[in-house]
Amino acid sequence: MSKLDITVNGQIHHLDVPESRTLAQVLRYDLGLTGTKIGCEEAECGICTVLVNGTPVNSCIFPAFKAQGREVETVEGLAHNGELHPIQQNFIEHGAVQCGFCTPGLMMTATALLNENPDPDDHAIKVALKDTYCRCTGYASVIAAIKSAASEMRGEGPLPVNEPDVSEPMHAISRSVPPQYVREKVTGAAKYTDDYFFEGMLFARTLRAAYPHARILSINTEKAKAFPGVVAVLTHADVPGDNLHGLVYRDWPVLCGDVVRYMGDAVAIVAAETEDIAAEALTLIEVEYEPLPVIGDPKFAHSPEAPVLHSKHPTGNLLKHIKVRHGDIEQGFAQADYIVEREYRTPTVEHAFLEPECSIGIPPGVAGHEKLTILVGSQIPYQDRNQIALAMGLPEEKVRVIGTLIGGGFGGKEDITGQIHVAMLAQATGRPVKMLYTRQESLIVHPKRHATIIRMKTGATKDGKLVAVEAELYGDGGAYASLSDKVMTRATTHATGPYVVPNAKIDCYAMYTNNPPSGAFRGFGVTQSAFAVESNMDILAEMIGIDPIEFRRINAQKVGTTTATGQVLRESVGLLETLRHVEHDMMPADGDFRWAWRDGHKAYAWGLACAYKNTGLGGGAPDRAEAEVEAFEDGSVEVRVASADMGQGLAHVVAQCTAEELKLPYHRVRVLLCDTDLTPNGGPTTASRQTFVSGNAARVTSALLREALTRSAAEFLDVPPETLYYEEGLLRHNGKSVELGTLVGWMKANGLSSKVRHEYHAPATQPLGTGGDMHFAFSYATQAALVEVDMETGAVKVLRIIAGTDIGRAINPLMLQGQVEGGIVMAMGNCLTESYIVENGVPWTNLLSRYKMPSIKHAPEIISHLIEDRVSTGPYGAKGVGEICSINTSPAICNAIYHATGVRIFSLPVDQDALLRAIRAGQTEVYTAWHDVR
Amino acid sequence: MNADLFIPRSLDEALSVVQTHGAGLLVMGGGTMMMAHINEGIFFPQKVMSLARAGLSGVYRNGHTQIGATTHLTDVSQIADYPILAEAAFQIGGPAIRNMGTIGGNLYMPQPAGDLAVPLLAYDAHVELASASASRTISLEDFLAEPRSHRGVHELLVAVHLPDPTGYAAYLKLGRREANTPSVVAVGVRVVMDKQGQISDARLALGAVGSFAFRAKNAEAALIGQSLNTKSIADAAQIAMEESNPFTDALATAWYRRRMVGVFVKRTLEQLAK
Ligand SMILES: Cc1cc2nc3c(=O)[nH]c(=O)nc-3n(C[C@H](O)[C@H](O)[C@H](O)COP(=O)(O)OP(=O)(O)OC[C@H]3O[C@@H](n4cnc5c(N)ncnc54)[C@H](O)[C@@H]3O)c2cc1C
Ligand code: FES
Ligand code: FES
Repeated sequence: MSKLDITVNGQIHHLDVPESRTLAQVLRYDLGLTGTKIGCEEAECGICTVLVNGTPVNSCIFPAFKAQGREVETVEGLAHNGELHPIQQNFIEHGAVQCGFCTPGLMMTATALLNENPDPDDHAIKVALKDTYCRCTGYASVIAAIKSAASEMRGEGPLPVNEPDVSEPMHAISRSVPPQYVREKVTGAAKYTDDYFFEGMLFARTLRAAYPHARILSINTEKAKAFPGVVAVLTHADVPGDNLHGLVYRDWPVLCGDVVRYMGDAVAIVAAETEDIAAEALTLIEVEYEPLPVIGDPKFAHSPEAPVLHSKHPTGNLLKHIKVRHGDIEQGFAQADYIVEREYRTPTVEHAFLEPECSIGIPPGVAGHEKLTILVGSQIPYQDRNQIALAMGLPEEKVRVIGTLIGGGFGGKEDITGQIHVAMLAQATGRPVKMLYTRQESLIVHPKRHATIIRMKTGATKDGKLVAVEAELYGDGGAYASLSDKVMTRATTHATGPYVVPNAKIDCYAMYTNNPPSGAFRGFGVTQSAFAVESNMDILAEMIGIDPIEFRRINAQKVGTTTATGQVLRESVGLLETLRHVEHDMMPADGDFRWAWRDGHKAYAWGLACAYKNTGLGGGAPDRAEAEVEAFEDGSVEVRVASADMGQGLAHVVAQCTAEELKLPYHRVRVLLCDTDLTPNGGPTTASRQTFVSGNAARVTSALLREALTRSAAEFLDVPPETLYYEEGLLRHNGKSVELGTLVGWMKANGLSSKVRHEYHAPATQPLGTGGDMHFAFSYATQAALVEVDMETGAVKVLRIIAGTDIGRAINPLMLQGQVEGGIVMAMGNCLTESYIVENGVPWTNLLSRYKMPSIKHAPEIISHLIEDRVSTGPYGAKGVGEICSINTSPAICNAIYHATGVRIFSLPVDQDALLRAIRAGQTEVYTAWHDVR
Repeated sequence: MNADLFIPRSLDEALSVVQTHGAGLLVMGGGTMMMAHINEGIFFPQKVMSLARAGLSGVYRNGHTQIGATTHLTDVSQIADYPILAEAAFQIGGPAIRNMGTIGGNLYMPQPAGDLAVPLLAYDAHVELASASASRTISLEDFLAEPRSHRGVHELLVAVHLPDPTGYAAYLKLGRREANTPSVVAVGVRVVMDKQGQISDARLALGAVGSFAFRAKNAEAALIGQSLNTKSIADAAQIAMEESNPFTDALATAWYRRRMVGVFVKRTLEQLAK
């Protein structure tokens, strides 16, 4: 231990801390200033940035002793006397805060920049922030916020907010209200799981498998148990209930006892007085293995030589065979004048949400909790509770899951990670237990986007009509089922693209392998198939000699057409509108449009792609959400749903629906999310369903509350209920009125309830293969990408993306635009730089520095049009948005690369090395991706 | 990190810590690489010595320029007299990394990192090394080429020395993407022209295309006596490609790196020709 005297946000602290502490640890754990976040501890993500004597440093690698005698500024010091700093205010105004986990780091880096440069341009901002990541926003709003803050700090007032145009704004709907908890997120007060501390809390770590596939011969925990400071070491033998979990198939061991199937498998868990002791104890656990042959790719998994990974699974390594049959495929190709058949590959992709997984388990009777309670930033609290209860051998009512704020999810926080482990350790020790994954652990453990191999054959007539699509998809499901079944089903059913294709035969094989499991990831499988579909579309257009835009227009789905699963589209098909807007914006003012042109060694070109994506679970799965809405005597209203807000902004959507139905000022609506004891079941935050399902639940339940309030107000004011109307928190009848709060008081006094709970059921859907409505709505999108290719280096730069996105209704235009921008930049990563590399079951990408996601320097100019083709069953006409913006970016970029260079990309991410090779050799096709270099 | 930490207050103190603890001791400059590796679980050091307080930072001028080993990259990026050194430092990481990373640490980074060696070679830098018993100043070129095992574990880098710069210089780095990225290739050139516009002296340094940064001496020689024109530039680029000894890693193949030597030598020389 050594003395440390530091000034933090103007306050002097004299501390006695271990020499080895980093500044981030001192701030968070010794001083309780949890506004500073830790995302990687590798100096890679930048979100831990604080100022030391005015200059930014990465506090995760800044040894605390170096701060001796210095002044440290953190996010908590930005606001003064409750008044937000212009940077904070502008981050809110410009919609630059989504999950908020990166926000403190971005704001502190921006503070340092503005101290030095009061009037930075875009370039200066990009250079200063290039090492501070945000995975949610796509950076455009961040740049706007910083410029506006700079302007305000120069005394020139804030800059206008770039709000998208929308139609028919209502009272609270189609208004860009600030998201919930945003003030907490910009002040550092927002609490994510690792920001919670409890008296007597222990720290837990997990021992992972030493091989991607091996039999466990023995596990000896004696030495670890005897290590001073270790309180519990548990293995498979200690799982009280069922040692299997899983969202669709229960095939995933809580703790492995006989065999390990991937490097992220958990073998033992330790709880100790400190994290360091827990980490040390892991090294003392002795496990004997007998290595087994490894299945490294899905095609091998399907071969007879491959070992069988799950002996109980009826179809062996074939996790699921998914089929789409439509029309007559042979007839279809017989009508085709042109046929193209190609094979495409997409890599495993990592979510890289900035908040690593964290769970806290609290035993019953501790810290005021009556039940076994789990705090976790989960996308699906009710399913967590179900899986925890099964593993603990407890009835569900004995378990409570409290959802904390989530620092990004994107689908990667749907499966169980540490939830059951902390439950077991809390139970075993009688003390609260926290398990925080390191970034490296997070990278190895959680399910990812499926790597795929897609063979796609498409036929069209000479006048440009699609007649047949035949496709075969292989999806790498990894070691456990997770959501493979659902994800690969989406990839399959969307494999014709948003077009009318009368004859289709599509087969998808989701395979078990010894790679990390694959599961949900924004786009849910459609990202992969869209790459193949839209590349084939461009190849065909060229063969036929027809303009790629015209080709898409001819075949576009419209109201009245039928999808390949036999669903007749009855409404809300905005594809042609998205195409029209994007095409319009691609045209230069002089009308002289060119797909491609050259300037020296730079080649420029446009590329375009379309997409569609279902809203909601569909396929016959009952899709429902319950909401509870309660009015209070202070005139406020609380709405409760168990859905998670991983940053995408579900909370404000729900609040807006309630404010709308009750014509309340938005700030009077509070939202309570994700607590299995306090909020009714909202179902999983997945499949772009939350706006639709939870939004509808809030809308319908609020309307029911309105009816109850109206009845009471009619009695209170003694007027007929039909004549009452709502206005800004008042219930009015000409001349007479009553405050909502007063009315609630009166209702209470008269024994009437001002609380309504209701379960909303989404329109019924039919299973795949029945030919009925598989989904209750689809969102549509067109994107055009303008790229620059350096013909001497093969480097590809995306200069501009024009996006048209049909989302039915923009409930919150500014936040929606943020979703679109964030989705596009994430998809750019998918196309150009991101690949999670696994070599024969062993992840090479076990460090964040080995995973290259886009930084602010890559952010292109984004021109976004929101198309609002209402769906009658959606809340005020809205359908899903979370995923549709992220699907067609990759093929749009690859189509542009083709126009620029004459080289077509068949494997993602684009490899500039291989692209250059092809350019120099005069070849027109690239089949290797960046990761193949190794 | 669970290690004994030493924070010497002078060079002498630091050298005696090194003397006492030798091979088991990890020396930390700014720690941008070291601390990250410790956090990642790549290193588990028992003993760590930080040079942060050893009084080794600062830029001094007396006849030549001396840059202390623990001078931060931010300060290196502001040394106006050596523009391509400043430029190379500015291109490393974001502001937070540059406020922590040091020039000394950078010269110990294995390829493809260690960008500063490239402009420093172009400026004929020397490095000053010290141990408890002796000190020596050698050319950076020799230092980089020295096998790691040869460098005494008891030795610290104390300072970098630079003669006054002459001529014109250019520096370009190609990364696989624009942020947080190790070099695929880094090229630093400096040429001195005589009155007739002919090159009388040339330095052409290459990074990330060999086991250490080096001078492409054949290409340098080819430039001497030439003016900068399309042909002389193309020739130098070709020779530099042949002289490089690139490797394949997760960023690029050797094939690609070699091609990029050609492209970027050409581009740096074209900048000078303007
Ligand atoms: C996000 C990020 C981006 C980066 N980008 C780049 C980049 O673009 N280009 C690049 O070149 N590097 C880059 N780096 C690597 C690194 O940060 C820099 O090279 C930095 O200059 C290293 O200096 P340091 O003082 O932090 O080194 P440290 O981590 O402190 O030490 C590095 C090595 O040098 C040794 N060492 C340090 N000082 C001395 C001394 N005085 N005497 C003897 N041995 C010593 C240490 O023992 C250790 O082996 C990046 C790092 C990060 C985290
Ligand atoms: S850079 Fe410090 S936590 Fe990522
Ligand atoms: S808001 Fe930036 S990472 Fe989520």
